[in-house]
Amino acid sequence: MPENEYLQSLVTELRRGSLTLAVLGSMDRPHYGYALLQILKDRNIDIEANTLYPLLRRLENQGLLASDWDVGESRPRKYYSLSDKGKYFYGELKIEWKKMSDSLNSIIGKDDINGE
Amino acid sequence: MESNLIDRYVYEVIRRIPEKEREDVSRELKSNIYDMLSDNPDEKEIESILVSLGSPAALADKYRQNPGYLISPRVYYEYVRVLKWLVPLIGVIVMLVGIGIGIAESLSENAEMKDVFKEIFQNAISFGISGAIQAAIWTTIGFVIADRSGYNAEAQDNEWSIDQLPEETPNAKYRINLSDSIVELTMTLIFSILFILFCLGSFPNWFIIKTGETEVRNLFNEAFINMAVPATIVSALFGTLDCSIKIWKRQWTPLVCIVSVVNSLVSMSISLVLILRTWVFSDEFMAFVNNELVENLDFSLWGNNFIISALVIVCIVIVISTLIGCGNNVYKTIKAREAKAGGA
Repeated sequence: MPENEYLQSLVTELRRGSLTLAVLGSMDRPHYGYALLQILKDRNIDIEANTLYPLLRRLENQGLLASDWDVGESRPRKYYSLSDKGKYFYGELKIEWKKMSDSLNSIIGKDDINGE
Repeated sequence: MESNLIDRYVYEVIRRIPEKEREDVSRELKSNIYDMLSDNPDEKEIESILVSLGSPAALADKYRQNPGYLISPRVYYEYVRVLKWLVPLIGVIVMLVGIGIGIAESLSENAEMKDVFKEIFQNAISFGISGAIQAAIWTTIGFVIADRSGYNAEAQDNEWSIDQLPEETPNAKYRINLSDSIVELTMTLIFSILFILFCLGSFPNWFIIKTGETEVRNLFNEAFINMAVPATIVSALFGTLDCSIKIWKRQWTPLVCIVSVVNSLVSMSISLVLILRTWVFSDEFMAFVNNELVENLDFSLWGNNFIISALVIVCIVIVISTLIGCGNNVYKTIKAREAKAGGA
């Protein structure tokens, strides 16, 4: 495939792994789909609506999120929140992320020293 | 009218996902879409939001939990490997069964030789093809079931031990190409069947008489045909055995060499016997050729036995090429054993 496409696919791969962590980490309080999309965009997490919505369902199916339909507002909305399992997983993923980013930074940092 | 667009879009998404999820996904997706729109959206805004969500098929794909393929990449190679040898094998076995059935049926009916062979070969083709197709389908189904029911390829990977390494590394120079063997097998069977049908008169085998009339005559002698058909069957069976061994072993081992040499010698003998013992061509054809050549082209040097001389030359060519072929195969086998012994 052309270079641009290939580069784009590698970037997507890079991002895909961190999405779950980003979503779990943004659940300090319950949010509905669109609101979460805005929060992530504000934090410069580049995520599409058609990726986030199915991801939320999947995390719920796997027990990391709990959901609740709020029918009180003008329009009913499905609110997601962290389950206990989700909190535990979030903790573990944070540790992994720290380890990974330290390793990667030491590799990338070395390149900087070499003037790359 | 605006909600109609949204309803249509959401419907296109949910119709592609499992039934029990449809209602919930529909509710949630619509809620999300309305959140993305302003309070009183016009049709253009709705359109642009729906377009930004991407095609309903792609979105449904993301909502679906199931794998989205029939056979997982991890076992795909195994699957193709099994197909490659199993389908030809079953096809040939079933074909032989068909031939057997054909023979049994015609014996009981006491039919004419020609019809017997026709029946047998129609059986052979139809049984063979349906056998091959069945083998392919059931292999596929078997792999799909194993895949879904949790044949865990990764667990097998983790339990790999050094004992599982095969004893010898096959030497690349003396490998027999799989596709070559399969093509040879297929060609052998096709040409054998075609030749037999040709002999039996299923295809027109006429020759034009010089006067301009097209008369339907037999090219081959009756006696020749009665011998040629069984001979072709035997030859095809040996050829099939040869190709099957090559497909199985894929190397020039002594066994493969022996089978191959036997096959070559059998074919050669059959060809020679057919050509030399019986008149190949019919009397009419012989008369025609002799008239043409002797009268018009002055081949009188060859005498009336031009055809015979030509046949003798053909026989010599057959013998020589067969012996060369056998010699070459034996040489390859010897070299392969030397290479193996030398640990090359």
